[in-house]
Amino acid sequence: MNPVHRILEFVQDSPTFGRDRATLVSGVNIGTIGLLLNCAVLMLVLPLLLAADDRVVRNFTDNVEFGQLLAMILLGGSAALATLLIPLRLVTVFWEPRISRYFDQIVLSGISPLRFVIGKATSQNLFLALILFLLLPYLVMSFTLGGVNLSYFAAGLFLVWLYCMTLALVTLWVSLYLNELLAAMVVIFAATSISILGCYPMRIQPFVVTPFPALIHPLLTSIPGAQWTVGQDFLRVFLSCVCGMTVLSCLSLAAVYLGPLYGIIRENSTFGEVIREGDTRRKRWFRVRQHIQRSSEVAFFYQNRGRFLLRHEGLLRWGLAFGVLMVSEGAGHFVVASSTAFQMPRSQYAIPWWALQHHASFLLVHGVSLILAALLFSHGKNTTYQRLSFWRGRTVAVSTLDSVAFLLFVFISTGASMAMPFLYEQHFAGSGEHSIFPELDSITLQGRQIDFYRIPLEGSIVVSIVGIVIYALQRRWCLLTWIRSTTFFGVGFMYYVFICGMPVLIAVIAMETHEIRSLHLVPEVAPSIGMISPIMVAVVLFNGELGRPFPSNVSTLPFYIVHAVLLGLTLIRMRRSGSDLREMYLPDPPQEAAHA
Amino acid sequence: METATVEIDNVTKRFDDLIAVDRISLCIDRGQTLGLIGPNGAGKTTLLRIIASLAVPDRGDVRIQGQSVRTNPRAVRKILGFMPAEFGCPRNLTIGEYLEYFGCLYAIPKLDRRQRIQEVCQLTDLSGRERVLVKGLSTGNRQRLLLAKTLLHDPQVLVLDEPASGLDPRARTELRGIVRELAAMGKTIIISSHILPDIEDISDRIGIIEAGRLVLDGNLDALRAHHRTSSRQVKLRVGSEDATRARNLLAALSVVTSCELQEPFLIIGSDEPNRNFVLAEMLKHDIRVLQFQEDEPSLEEIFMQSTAGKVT
Repeated sequence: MNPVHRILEFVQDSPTFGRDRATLVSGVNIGTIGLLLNCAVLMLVLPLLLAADDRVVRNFTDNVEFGQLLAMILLGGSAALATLLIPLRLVTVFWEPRISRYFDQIVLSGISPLRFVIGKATSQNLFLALILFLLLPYLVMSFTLGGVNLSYFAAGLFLVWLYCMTLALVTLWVSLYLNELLAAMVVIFAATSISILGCYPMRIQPFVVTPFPALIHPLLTSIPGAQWTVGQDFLRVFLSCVCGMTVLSCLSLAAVYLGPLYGIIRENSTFGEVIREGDTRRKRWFRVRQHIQRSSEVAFFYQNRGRFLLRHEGLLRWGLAFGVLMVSEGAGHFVVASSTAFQMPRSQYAIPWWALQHHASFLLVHGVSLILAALLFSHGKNTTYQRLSFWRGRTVAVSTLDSVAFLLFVFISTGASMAMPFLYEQHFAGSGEHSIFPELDSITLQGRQIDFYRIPLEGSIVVSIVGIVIYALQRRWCLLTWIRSTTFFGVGFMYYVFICGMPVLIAVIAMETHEIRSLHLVPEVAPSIGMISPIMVAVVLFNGELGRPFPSNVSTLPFYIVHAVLLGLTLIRMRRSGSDLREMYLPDPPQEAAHA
Repeated sequence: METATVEIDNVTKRFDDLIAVDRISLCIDRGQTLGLIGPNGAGKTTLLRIIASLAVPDRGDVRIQGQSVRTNPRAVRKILGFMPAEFGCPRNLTIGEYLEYFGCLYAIPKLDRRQRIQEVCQLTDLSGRERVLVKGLSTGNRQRLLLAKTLLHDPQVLVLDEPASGLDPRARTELRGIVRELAAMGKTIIISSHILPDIEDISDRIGIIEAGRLVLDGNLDALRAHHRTSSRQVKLRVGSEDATRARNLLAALSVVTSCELQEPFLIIGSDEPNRNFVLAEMLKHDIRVLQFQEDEPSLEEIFMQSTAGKVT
């Protein structure tokens, strides 16, 4: 059997595909979809009817053939309907087995999670076909009216199809971590927001994970005078959308394939058994009890993954996360470099803001990458000390993989953040008047000189130290909590309030309030307290608005001391909490090779 | 040395402070049928779920044909069929669609699926009803369907949790017949039930669980022998014309401790382990014996004697 047949059989033999195929065409489905579809199309046509004299609407109707306008509205309406209905359709993939009480039978069948859900994702093709079938009279009308650009229409149709698949896969991915209704709501909200942003005319449209930038592009470019805001090239927008949605779909597929990681499976009424005090009451209040069943069910389901994944799980998970982070950071550096290259020759200002922006942007990319790494390379208490196969069955603890991956990433990211401005200067900026390390004699708001060489070097180190401390705090609190994302928000908030905000606040109050400033030692101590905060360090590096009362040469040493102490204390606490947690993990059964 | 098909090795399972399964060890050989009985909340279902790899034991391990439920649950699921106590089903499906759905789940190749569905339908007497909606099935037929689904992938080990629950006597009898047929096919079966006569009828071996512990385990004869007291009674039935004579003859024997006539039986009490002397006495005096029955302890009696009514 050739690979294409194999893939087709893999998809078509998925039980969810067969079930969808059997139940999609029904009176209820056709009626509901038809009604909602008409609503969506009407919503998009309504402005043309109600505000026919509006300037924007007139721009469209005067410059675009009505048939073309209607065809794009129909595709937009289909995409809008898909945004609403596909996530809702997808919630049934795990929800129905749960409420109909046969999820355990699915688990016991040994079906791999990917094979189970892929049918549900690909059955969106049937759903789209149904939508298009119901749109047929409108489509005939728009073609009859004339003016439809067939290539734009075909491209739009392809993008809507891709969007349906992307939506389905993203919903499946999210629903592995959240209960299905919440997952659907999150996806609908995010997709709607991104779709709206995608319609906004921008020269470089970053929201290319929906078809809307491409669907709206022919309409926007046909308006005289609007071309400069959106760019002329449809093909570029189309390809960006294709790439954006393909990458997102592949990432979602990989995430579904890898699935969540569970070491300790919480005993929380798995498959409907009442085992905890208060469960009966909860059952009455929340009939489907998603809040307590979800993770255990998924944990058992994910034992059914394939042998290759189970034998190379560590490498695949951490390798993929590491790869995504590296590519994202590389893309970030590329965007910053391109933006600087675009702005630099056009600069009209005496002060080279673009150089400051360039350095700040590199540091921002470095910081954001570290935040993502801290989130990706940390795990809740149910997984931290689980041992899993890294390569050919050789097991490594999750905590070790997390630490090694994070430190390696910090090392590479810090190096890149330090080196990139110098490489850029050497290869692109040159030594002319457009250097990103300009020699400034008398500039800046405070009348102090900016040391442009210090920014990438010390700035990168400061950002890395902040990243390491936040990561250590995150790992320490993860030893006590089940959900890492919630923990991360908590840790981030606490760090922001107590380390970033409070020292600045204290320093500002002390230095700006005359009565306090006049007290003994306050003028010497207050700036040092302020320098605990990385915000103040950044302000010093960029020689920004410290305010008159602040001394000009305040040392950044307090930042390093406090962060070193915080790191040390966190590591000690981690050691203690870790030893307690290790006892909760199951000892390996004797005489059994892992994943034999 | 032949390995047991199912090895339950010192399995313990706790839910917070509650010990649902407490250090249970069992070995079940190929083709054997083990009946698990115990009061409500004894830990039967938890033990069955551990065997079926749907719960992780806190201590110990279960191996099915050498595969551990902890380290290799996927392999266990391939060789094991679990019939849960609760019937769950996708909505709006016919019997045929239901089995087709599970056939897809079990990745039975498309060409073989149709034939396999026919085979399990035949085995469970569902043939010809493939177009009937599952929603409208009686409890008995639902249990048949659930069993058919469990047999789809031809598992070597069957774990049946309360299969006869809610069934009428006819359906129970039919289900017993099916289980016996499966046992004859060489399948290893673990079955839990509250209906003791059913268990007594179909099991080679009985395990009694109470408060998470296995309080008794063995084949029925051994259990009976273990619970047989020395002063058991014998029921004897002779012709009505000989009844009084027989009673007098037996009462005169020194080994007989009591002899009462309770129409139509003579109830004879004796400390003698071998009760053949009763028959010998009847033959000696040419009295025709219509029925002779040693009064064995029933499973219910064994169960009542072995358990103290503790519930976890």
